[in-house]
Amino acid sequence: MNIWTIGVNSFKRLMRSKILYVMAVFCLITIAYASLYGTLTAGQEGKLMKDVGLAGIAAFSILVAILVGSTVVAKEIESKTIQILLAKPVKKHEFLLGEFLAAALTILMMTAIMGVGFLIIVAIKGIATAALVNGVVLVFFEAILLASIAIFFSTFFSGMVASVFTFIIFVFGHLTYQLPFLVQRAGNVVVKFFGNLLYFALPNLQYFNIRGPVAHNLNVPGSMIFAVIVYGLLYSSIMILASALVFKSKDFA
Amino acid sequence: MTSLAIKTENLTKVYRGGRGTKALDNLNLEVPVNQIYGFLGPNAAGKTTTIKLLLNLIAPTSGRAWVLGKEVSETDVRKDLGFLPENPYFYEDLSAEEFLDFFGKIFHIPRRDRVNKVEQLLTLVGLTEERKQILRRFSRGMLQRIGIAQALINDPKLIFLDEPITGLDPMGRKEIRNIISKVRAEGKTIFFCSHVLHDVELMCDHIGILCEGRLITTGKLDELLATKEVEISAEGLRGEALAKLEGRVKKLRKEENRIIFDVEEEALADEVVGLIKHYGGKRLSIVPKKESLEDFFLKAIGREEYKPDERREK
Repeated sequence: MNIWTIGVNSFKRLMRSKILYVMAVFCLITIAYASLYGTLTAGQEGKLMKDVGLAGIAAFSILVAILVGSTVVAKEIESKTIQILLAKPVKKHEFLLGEFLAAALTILMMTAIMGVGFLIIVAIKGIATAALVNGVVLVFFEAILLASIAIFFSTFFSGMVASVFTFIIFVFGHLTYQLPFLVQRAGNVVVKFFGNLLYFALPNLQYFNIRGPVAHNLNVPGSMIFAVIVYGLLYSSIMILASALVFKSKDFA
Repeated sequence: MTSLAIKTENLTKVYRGGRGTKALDNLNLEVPVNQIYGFLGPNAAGKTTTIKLLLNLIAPTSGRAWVLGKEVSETDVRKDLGFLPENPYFYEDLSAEEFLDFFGKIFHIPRRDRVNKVEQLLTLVGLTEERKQILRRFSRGMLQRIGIAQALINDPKLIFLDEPITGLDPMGRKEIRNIISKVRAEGKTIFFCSHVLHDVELMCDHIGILCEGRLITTGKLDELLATKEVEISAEGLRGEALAKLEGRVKKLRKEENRIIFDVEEEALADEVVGLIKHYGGKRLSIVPKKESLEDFFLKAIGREEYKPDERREK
């Protein structure tokens, strides 16, 4: 009950932030622009639009996730509003889950606005497919995963530092899939050990990227989409659990 | 322990980092219920640290604390607590009404009761006109008032007010004092930290003085400020009588037609009154003397002058 109350309150406050709407509008302008640009590429217009559209939604959703995830908890700590809340019968993990819920609802809202706008544009062009929805859904779960990482970092760093670290994880997360090949080639045992450690510790964010197959109208099995969603939720849960453990012994002086 | 609103046993807090500041040193405190307890001390004395320990916002390095008979670590006990922090840091993008409603939901107050409670609190703190205004536009005094309102949303038995009147103009201070008086009339216990000694003297029943993390003194304000001295005023005394009396009293001064005698011991008062009568004078009044809280406080912390901003509060 407290989780929901805290989550909805923070979500309401986040949705009053004009920057999020500016970002969503900017994303839709990018997609609309891609449709104009696509007319210059004979026969490739549909592919280009789908690819640019999903990439735009991914970029803006991830930006929202990093921005919201790194500030939703950090701001409460830095502005000390957390002290008033935790002086009430609210457990620390309830607060944390509430803020995660707020971040998730915000990402859902922003991804939905951009996703629906995108689907309307492609439907007008007559190139809408069900696979595009899957693409947007996976973007949402990737953003959720990144928000959980940002929240984890913000439990012991400032919002700014948390957002930088989350961005670094985002970049490395999209390179993780190459690590096994690099580790195989490495002769040094220490490099192999750390390579393997990073491979298992870092999220594999390429799982969430199905832009290529979607743009080329290739089939992405539903079971794979489902597995990626479960992976994203599991990883997010571990990050929130780790955040709760950090929070448990944290002083709010 | 139930007749005590707050009890601590050797409560100690050492902040990690740097030189490991000992913010609170073996605090043994007992605050009775249904009282306004003034917790005084210069900056960095450990007052805010004490409140944060009692609200379980920080963990003690050693020692134990109870509020309303329960360990402070029990989440349930906070159902009966209210808290106004030192510098009100609230959700500034919420309106006054939304802000109170949110905290009402945190206490699971049913919707209809919540609406009534919010209305009642906005009336109490005089913010009914500003109910739709977002907190960012509130003045310092208005923020203090809405802060007190949120601290009362759950009808708490014990309220912690950390510097609720510091930094306010005389009007703002008076408004807050009035609100606190109304709350006190409802039989609530108020734990009140302040630098403004005049207001503490006006409102508090009990006080505790903290200095450099140690509790120097605690007790009923009247008893602590009471002295054995008596002030006797008389008229119709001249020359020889005054010379004779001067030798028996601590101090003698003239105010218009009256003579004021400060008598050090109550036992001497009868003798002085007898001498006044003997020399044909007329006794006007006998009043037991009280020390001012400021003098008492300065004596307690061992300083001649009170400079609250010498050190910053942790």
